[in-house]
Amino acid sequence: MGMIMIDKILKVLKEQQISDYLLYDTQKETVELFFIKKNLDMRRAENVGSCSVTVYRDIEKDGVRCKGESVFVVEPAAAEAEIAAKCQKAYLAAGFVANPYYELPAGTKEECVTVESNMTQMSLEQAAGTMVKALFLADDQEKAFLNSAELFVEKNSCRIINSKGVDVSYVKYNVNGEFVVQCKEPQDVETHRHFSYDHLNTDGLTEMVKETLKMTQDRAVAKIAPATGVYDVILSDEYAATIFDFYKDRSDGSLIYQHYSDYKTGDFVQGEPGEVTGNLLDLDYMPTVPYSIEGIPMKRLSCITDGVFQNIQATVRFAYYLNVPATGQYRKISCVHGEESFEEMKKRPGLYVVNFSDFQMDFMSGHFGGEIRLAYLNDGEKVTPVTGGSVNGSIFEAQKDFAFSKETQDTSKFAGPKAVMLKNVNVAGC
Amino acid sequence: MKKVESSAYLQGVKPLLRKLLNRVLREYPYASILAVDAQSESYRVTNSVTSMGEDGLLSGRGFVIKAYDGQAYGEYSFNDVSEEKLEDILEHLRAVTALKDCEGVEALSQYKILADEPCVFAESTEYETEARELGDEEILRRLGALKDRCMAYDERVIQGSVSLNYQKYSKLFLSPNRDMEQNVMWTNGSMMIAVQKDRQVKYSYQGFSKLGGVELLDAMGDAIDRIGKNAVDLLEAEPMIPGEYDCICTPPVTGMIAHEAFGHGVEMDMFVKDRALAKSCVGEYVASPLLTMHDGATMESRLETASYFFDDEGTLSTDTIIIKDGVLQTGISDAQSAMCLGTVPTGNGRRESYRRKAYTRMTNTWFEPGKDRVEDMIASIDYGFLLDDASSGMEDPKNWGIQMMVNIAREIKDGKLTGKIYSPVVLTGYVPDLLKSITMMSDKVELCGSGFCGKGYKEWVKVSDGGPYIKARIRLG
Repeated sequence: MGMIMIDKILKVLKEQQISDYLLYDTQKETVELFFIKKNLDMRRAENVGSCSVTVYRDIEKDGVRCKGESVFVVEPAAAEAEIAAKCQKAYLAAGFVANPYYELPAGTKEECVTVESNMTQMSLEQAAGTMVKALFLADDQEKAFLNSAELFVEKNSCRIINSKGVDVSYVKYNVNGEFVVQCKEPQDVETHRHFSYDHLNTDGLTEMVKETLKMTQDRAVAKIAPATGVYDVILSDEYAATIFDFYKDRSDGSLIYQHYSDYKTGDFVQGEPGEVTGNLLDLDYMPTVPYSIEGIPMKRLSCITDGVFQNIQATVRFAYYLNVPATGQYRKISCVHGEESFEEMKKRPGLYVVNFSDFQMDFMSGHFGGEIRLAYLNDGEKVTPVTGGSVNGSIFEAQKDFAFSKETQDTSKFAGPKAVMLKNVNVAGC
Repeated sequence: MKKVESSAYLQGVKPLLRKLLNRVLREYPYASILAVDAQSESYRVTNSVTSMGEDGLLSGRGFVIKAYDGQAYGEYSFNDVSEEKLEDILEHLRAVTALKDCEGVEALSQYKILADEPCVFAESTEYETEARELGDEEILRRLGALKDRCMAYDERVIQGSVSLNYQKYSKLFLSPNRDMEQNVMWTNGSMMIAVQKDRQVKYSYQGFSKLGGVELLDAMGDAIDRIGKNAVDLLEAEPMIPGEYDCICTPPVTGMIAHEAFGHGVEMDMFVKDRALAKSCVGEYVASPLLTMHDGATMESRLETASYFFDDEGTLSTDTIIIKDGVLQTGISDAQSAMCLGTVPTGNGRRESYRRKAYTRMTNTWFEPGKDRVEDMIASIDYGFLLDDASSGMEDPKNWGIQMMVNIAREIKDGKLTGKIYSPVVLTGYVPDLLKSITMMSDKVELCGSGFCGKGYKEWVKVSDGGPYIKARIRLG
């Protein structure tokens, strides 16, 4: 939002003698393009800034030292009097939020970091043009075609300041969006995909479109659902990545502190140690931004090694409560790949689901599942495209016998095996 | 009842916005400005943490200019406006509308100019108690008391979580012939109880909603026994045996069917893209003759969290009858989609915020009631399930495939609930098959607007859905 607004907020905080605070200031610029078939249907841009201000207040409740906090948001149009009123209300409210005491991290002023990207040297309009070309490059087939697409090119600037000297900032670019591929014959079907890259991954986007064109043509000929039964199920790409969200979520300090997760450092968390017959988990937390929203420097950090939980990922408050280092919250996780090639995996009898209407992984119950839009059923003799029915599994059972592919994927959310085979999973079909 | 107040900020900045609009109109045949001032507060009390503060996603002040350049539309979203910045804003808008071709793109879509019938008004929704009247301390105290009752429900409870949030928004829509203002407030609550047995954690959740203020708190305590029982029962739940069953859906599950399974399929921006099967089914039976379905935001319709006076394109809200006696009548639309299709816009052009594009979106979506009693509906089933605790759903406008999950299926045998439950449960099948199989509907409609709806995986807007209990044949897995 810029220095003027930050200075105004700091002045108000000083005037109101608020000694503990955190400012999270963001400025987002975008170019957004919307397509129907190969026509540019709508053009948009955004240039919006805001600053989230957290005020903290040390209080006592029942003789116990507590720390309360409350948040308010300031936008460029706000007058100083309005900021002062919001600040006063938030500080008063913080007095009613009696959480156990914790301390804010100390730090220093650091140079602004620009996250490495091939987008830094061009305008957002130029970057959009490059990705549009990549999007439509493979759209040259007769039967399947791009029905519609949306592209968002973003520049995010962020500055984090706290009352203990932290003053860090970074600039990060991102390109994300979604597209729909349609195939009209013999059945009229479509596949919806979304993508997100921190650099202009033109090859990745073109390849994704190409894959989706093929998978949509296959879905157009798929007529039957798989028979109800138990299958070895292969998941790839974003669905494979979603499985690992279970471990990322269960490793979160806020969920451990609130007893939603029972993970303890040093515990074997992949079932019972003697039970595992498949790949052992080897996961790392991966930074996607240089600093967490509280200004904690984010580095690659071990999460699980050989099935054993290594480090809790936690914000400042929950790290203090759990007596572990504050790491910030990670959005991305990596997993060491397996030895078997994806092609070999697909040759084994099983059900390779390439598209769900929506795939869910519940970190609390361990249930995963979704409705099958397209799967390839390998019955040991032939491969048949199938559609309909649903997958229903429990990660507590499946984790005993994971098979990870040798091939890998790397997106803004996950780096690891392109495919995962889950053994003996219930499928409700015809 | 009191009326939600106007935004003093928007009233103050309005002359400047009118000036900006006039500057834009010197260069563009049509332009409009949507100005938003939204305030919110979220409160949450759990067994281990308490939090409160302004919700960054629900709060915000800003503007979006939409301009027509003779061929198509372009938009610029911003939140810093002053006399000195007007030229800069115009320059950004010019840069947006200069984007006409890229390698790989065949053409810029060709649109006509939007209709701009004169319309001037200012309207507000009503409420009983505003959060600031009750005060943050009292709200947190009452949430804390509810949380304590959740924790005391059973010794296996490991976490109780109770929350309340509200949004109060003011919107101005300015165009050459329009000057419209609306001030709306909705409030949501939620309650969750998590229980543990061995390493297994199960939970049950209920949302609460109201077009109004924090008086919603008064209604939340009654739900604790139901939520607690569901959570504890889930510890003994068995996996569902896949198959097709006679089912009774509770109003939240009925609502999820109305919204996810059918509603998304009649969003007419999907008709424009040839992405909705419903386009070719207007005038045909798509449901049981017992069924009539609405989507509407008008104050004369169902008052819920998605009620408003005009949408984010300046179209007045309507109540659309989508299905009448089982026959598909029409879809719902935003202004630009209606222009493409040659239909009348239904006031469903909605934005996640001023920062996002408008799409065709649902509002309050519901089935009309029938004449049956719930106990008669259960008694009519030899073997089947009562489906409860709707948890998630995903649309499939193209193929009308059902993808929904519920947390609880209660077994019914010989017309009675046996007490045995199955979980989790995935509902699959073909939407018209399910809707045509409806044979009984209860006599009361319940709506809940505690959730947000995404278009795909983004663009979250406030919606409500519901209906009566329905009896239908559903494939469960």
